Amino acid sequence: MNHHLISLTLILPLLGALLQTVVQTPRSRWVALASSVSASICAVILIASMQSQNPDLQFTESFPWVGSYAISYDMAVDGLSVLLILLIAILFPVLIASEWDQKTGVRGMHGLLLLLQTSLGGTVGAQDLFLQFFFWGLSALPLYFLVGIWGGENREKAAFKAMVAGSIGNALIFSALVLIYYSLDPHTFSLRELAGAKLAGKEFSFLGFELPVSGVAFVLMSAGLAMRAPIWPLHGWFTEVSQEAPSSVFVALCAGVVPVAMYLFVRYCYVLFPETLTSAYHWIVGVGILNLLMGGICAVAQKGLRRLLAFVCLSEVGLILTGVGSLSAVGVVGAAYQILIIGLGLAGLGLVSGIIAERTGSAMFMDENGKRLLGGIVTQAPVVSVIAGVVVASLLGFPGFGGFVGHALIIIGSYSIHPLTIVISGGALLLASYYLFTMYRFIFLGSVTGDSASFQDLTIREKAYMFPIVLSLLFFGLYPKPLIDLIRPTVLTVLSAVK
Amino acid sequence: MINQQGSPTYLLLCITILLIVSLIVSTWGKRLPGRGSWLIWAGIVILLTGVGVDSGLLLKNSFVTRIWASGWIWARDEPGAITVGMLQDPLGLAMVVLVAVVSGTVLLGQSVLSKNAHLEREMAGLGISTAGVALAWTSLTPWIAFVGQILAILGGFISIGSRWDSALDAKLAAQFLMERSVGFLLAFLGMCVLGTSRVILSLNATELWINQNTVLHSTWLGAVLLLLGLFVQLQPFPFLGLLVSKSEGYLPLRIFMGQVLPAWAVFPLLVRLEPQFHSLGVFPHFGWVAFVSSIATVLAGLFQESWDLMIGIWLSGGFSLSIVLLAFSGPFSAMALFLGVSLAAVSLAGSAASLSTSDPENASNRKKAIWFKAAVFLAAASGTGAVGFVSATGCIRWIAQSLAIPALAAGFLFCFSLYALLGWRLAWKIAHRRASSGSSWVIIFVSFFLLFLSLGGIWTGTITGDVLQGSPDRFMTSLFDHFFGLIHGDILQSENFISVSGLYWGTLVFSALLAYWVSGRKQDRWLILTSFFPKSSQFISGGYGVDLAMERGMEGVEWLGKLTEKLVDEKIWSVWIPKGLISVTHAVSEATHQADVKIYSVLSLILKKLVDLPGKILQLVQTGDLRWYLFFALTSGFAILAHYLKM
Repeated sequence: MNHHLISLTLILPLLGALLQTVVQTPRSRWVALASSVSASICAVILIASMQSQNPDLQFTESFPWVGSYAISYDMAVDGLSVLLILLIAILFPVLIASEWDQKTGVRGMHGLLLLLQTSLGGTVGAQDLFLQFFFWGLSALPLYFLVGIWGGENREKAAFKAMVAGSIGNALIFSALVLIYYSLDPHTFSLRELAGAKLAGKEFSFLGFELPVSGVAFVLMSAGLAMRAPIWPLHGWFTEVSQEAPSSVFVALCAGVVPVAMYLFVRYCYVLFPETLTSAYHWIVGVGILNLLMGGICAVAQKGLRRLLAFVCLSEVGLILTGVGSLSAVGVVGAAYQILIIGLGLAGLGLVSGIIAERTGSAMFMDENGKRLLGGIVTQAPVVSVIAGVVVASLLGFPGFGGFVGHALIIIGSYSIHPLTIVISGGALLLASYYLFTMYRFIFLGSVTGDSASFQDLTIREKAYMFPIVLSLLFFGLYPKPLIDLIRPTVLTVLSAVK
Repeated sequence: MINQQGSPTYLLLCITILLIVSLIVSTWGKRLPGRGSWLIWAGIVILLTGVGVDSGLLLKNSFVTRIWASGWIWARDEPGAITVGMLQDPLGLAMVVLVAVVSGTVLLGQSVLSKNAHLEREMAGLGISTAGVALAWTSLTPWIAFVGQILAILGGFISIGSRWDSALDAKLAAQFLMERSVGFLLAFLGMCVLGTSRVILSLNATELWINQNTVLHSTWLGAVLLLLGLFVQLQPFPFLGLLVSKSEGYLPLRIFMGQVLPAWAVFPLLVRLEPQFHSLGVFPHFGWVAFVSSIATVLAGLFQESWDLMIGIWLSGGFSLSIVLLAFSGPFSAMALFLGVSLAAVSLAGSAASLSTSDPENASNRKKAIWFKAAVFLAAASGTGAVGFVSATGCIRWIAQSLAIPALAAGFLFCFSLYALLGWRLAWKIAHRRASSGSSWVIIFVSFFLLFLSLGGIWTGTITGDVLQGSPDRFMTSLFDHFFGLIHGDILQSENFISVSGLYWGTLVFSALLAYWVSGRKQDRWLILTSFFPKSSQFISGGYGVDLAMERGMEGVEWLGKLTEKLVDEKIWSVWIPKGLISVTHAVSEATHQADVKIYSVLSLILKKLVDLPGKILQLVQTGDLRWYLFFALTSGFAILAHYLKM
């Protein structure tokens, strides 16, 4: 039996994007918001209706798309993808609301954000590799325009770089797809059919060498995803886009695209390439550790909130990779959970950076000589300061906040396999406490400096869209059980294929 | 109806109520009547009521410990599970009562004295920290104790940073947060490692971790990290940066919220896990770390010129010394000193801050000043283990237990005498000021009440603080017996009693006299002494340059970050890759173009040649120079010849 809830979460934003282009501007905003919110409501109903101890794919919807190439429109959700569905459901209405007062081309911006919501949702829900690639490739397009049109001074350059990096990444993924497709007989793109080490032992001939399909496809896909997620040192485009993009687009990138890239990596690793994973997990952890450290070190050198967050994202991606490479249920559940939490955390601080930039003209908190440019916002705007404080606490993994669950599970899970991670994670967390508190002090505490003097606290609209993020960070920190109950059975099932 | 099974959760509810009202005061306190102080009071009363009801049930049930436990992340019995729970035992409940009473008392003094424009933040911070300490003492697992620690840190941050508009206090608040976070994160990592070794992470576990079938090196590493993290949160050497920094904030609050309450939230884990640390061999080894740290801390205190900085350092030295006692003498002694020094420091800070040279000198103010000075001396006595106070029993036990190894005893006595010297020097330094006090009598009451709470009689049931052989001065059962079992008096009944008492009394009297000789008279001889080696004294009093080294270290990290960023972002991604790509693209394009031209010209030549020959022949035929029939006859003849030759 086909369920249509997932499709609704994709179609509604798309319809909204089309409809709002033919409606006059004040109403178009409501159309955009309504379509995004209604998709989110569908997503929440879907998650609430999921069976918690069921490891299988649920809410499946499948019909042939291109029959001659065995490509199907196959949608479903399981424990690995559920948190991403939730993240997208929370994120995009917030982003549309945050760009409510956009002066230039608000319809275009909202339309592209809705298109991004559809493409990311489709990537997460798709159970057919080709369909997944279609949505994933599609997600690069709105980002290009969003950065290129609404970005800062060097927007074209940044958008171009992002597009080039994305295209290279997509080309690599597509090569892997073709390789996988032809390695099985009958040929298939279906993730269900490819699951369970079906690629194990398959080889192909290249220039006279016999190469394993699984290994080569794993490398190609990993490299392809590394071009879209910020993996050090391939992250150059990412920091530039972070600098140039408007805050909502920065958030869409950090809290939407990057988590989805991480999700794809987890799914490919554990579903498509379990046998390769058993030999590659050290590399995954190694890359994770490198990211964790380099992200932390580079973050210390930042003088602006936006770039600081870009490096926080880099560091957090490293932490997630260590969880993915742990090959333990605790670590992988932690990684899946942390994907949701960094999405929410970066969304929170990213939007705060936008609010600060909007009110003061820049989110730079220090000049090159170390002189503070902001300060004292807490006395002018306590609400935004508290929100920033909650997000910082979550990013540091303080108990009671979402980050605690993810951090604790990843460290517990990865320590037994890679004891070194405790040293690196410890160092990275200590660095994080330094740069996050320094940032907090320079922006929010101390005497009122420069443009902070006339800083206004959040408006009702701003409070309304920040509320779900803060509430989620607290709720998922205090009561993670329902979500973990959804993730865990799937993780245990995919792990059994690895072991 | 409150029953015994549900009582731990009722206590949790009371703590939650206090936390919520504190958050309300923090958010809307300015708009509430009396800035919401009544709400904090109500929260504290609710907490006390909860403890009262629970204690009644505990008494009814002959002090049988009750627990409530639940899986938080994963089910309780699964590996890697993070469990939460509440523990109700005499120690936990007594400490919750103590923290509620002391917080209430401080609140009384604070609302009278503090001139802070953001008093509501201070009160909210107090409420949050109190809830945190209560939670830490009643938690069944370290995870939930961590929540308590974070709340205590948050309360301290709100309170210290209540003057956020001051750049100095903002810096101190951020530094406070950073230093505590370092400790917390280390402890958190330790717990995660312990989580992987699959030991039972319960604070009332009877089975030792070492006896459980676990990965021993993980357990050991986890225990070390946990202990280190907890120790760092007590703010000893080398974390003296905050303590040696001047602040514009209200001193007693800074001491209570910034040092005492966060330490009270840390101590339950230290005390309850002490048998585990001992069994793993982390104690007593770590005790030596604490020993060195306490000497370094106390020395830094002795070299201070300003009495207000000395108080914090003295307190921190006392905390380090408590860890030494925990490692070498056990939780009984450690707890006794810890309580004594905590309560004494708050009282001392309150009294010292109330003495002012700017208040008008009239009879009433002079009278108050005398009372405050008396409180200062009593506080010094209470904190340094003088007879009659709870800390006395801890110190004398420590000496008694170390007596078997004379070198050890000598080291301990040296450390103890330095610590006592600092306490008494501090008292003399404060008392030496010609001061009057315009403070309210309520503040005097608060100072003395805190000292009353540190009396040995309350905790040990003896007038002297259980320092006499056979405890002839006992008038009631010792609370410590309920906390740690019936162990009082064991050590003092040994044949070494005279030696132990002699050393104890000797050290105390010597320290007090030395302190008088150094700082009690007209000239501060210590300052004269330090003037002979100003740089070294500055180095010691400034916290041994650790902060500077840390600053340099962070500058190094920043430099590395900049370098990496420059290399990756500005060079590789912005110059080298684009230039490389452009160069490669141009080169490939140029080469392709050249090849294209070459191929075209060669092909044209070949084509020209191919076309030229038949064209020429046809031209000859057309012009009549070559007869067509002759041409075909010849070519046919060649074809036939070629055919037969081939055959």
